[in-house]
Amino acid sequence: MTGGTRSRSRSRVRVSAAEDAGFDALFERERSAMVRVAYLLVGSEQVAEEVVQDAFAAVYVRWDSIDNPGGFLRQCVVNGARSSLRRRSLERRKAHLVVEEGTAPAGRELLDALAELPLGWRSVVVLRFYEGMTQEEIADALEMRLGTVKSSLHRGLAKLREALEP
Amino acid sequence: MNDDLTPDDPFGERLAARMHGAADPLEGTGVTRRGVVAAAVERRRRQVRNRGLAVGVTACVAVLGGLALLGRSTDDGTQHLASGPTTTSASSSTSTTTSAVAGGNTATTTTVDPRRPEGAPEQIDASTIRERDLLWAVYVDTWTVPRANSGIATTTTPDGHNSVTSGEDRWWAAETRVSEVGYQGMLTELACEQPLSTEGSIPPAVGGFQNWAVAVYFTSEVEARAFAELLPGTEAAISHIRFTCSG
Repeated sequence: MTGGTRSRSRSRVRVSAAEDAGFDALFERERSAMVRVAYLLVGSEQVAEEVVQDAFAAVYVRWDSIDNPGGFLRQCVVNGARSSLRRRSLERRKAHLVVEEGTAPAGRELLDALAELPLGWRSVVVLRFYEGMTQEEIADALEMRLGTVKSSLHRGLAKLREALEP
Repeated sequence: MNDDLTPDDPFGERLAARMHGAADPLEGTGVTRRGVVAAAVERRRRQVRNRGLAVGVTACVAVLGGLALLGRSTDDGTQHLASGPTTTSASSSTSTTTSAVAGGNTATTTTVDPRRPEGAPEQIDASTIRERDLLWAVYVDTWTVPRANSGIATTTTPDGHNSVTSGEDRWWAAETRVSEVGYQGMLTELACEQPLSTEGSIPPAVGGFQNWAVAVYFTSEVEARAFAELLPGTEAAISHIRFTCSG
């Protein structure tokens, strides 16, 4: 390459400066919690970690443009879990969880019971009873109508009760 | 919603307890900050690729549409006059751009703010990448390359020196470090006034970096930052550089 003039001035910046601190704090605060939620949704620790990693990546890429990173992260996790299950359902024609070997019997029973629920019901139940979110918050997070959240919760709980405490 | 479907319900409480019992032991240690950055880079790359694909498809449709209009215009002289110049203009523009890129790029302006400067696009669209006119550069300060990691004690420079006192040696150490780290997102094929580290040339002096710095170029800020994070302990600066085709 030859020719061309260049005027250059740059400011020296340490990589990972102040604006990354917010992301780092979110990462440290939410990582475990999000993996646990994803685990209840997909039934596999490995898949859950992949889902959560992708969710954090989505937050990282859009960090400058999102108002509520925590809410956005949770939404990404739920959507990612659902996408993951959908992909697997295409492969297996059935959107059931893959319960990992070595899962404790009590945990396996719960995951099996959750696996019997349709994805929408499962997400609602997990967010309500594990995350402790209100129905309105769930409706926002999953972009569902409140009535759908209520009916999903009602039916999901009824089916879980039947499976876990017949 | 029935009241018995709240966590206060005995079954709800038991269910919540079972969920916590099953999930709480997980720590999520498989999710790492570095893995997230790598996934972000991949995500951004996918977005850019998809956008490029969309642009390509749109261009194909436009060309086909233009050809169709031209075909119709053989039966209609008025339409030919109306549509012909448009198609010719687009084609000509593309050719000019391609040849200019092939001829090399010249850096002409620099945006100072190394974060995302005001007005700069959040990400680079496909046409920008094709024309190679908007890049992020990571300048690795050769003074701060960790000696323990640089291999400088055992690396012989191209000139056969082992001394660590010369600028060339420091640059060589930094270049070695960059090569060790490697990064598939870096642009090594770009020809520009300030040479890439892999070409073995020494960049010109730049203000904050004493005499020597290794420059590695990327098409997005995310990729540049991801690369810089792979150089722990090394002072690095990121600049947003606009290149223009020299023609």
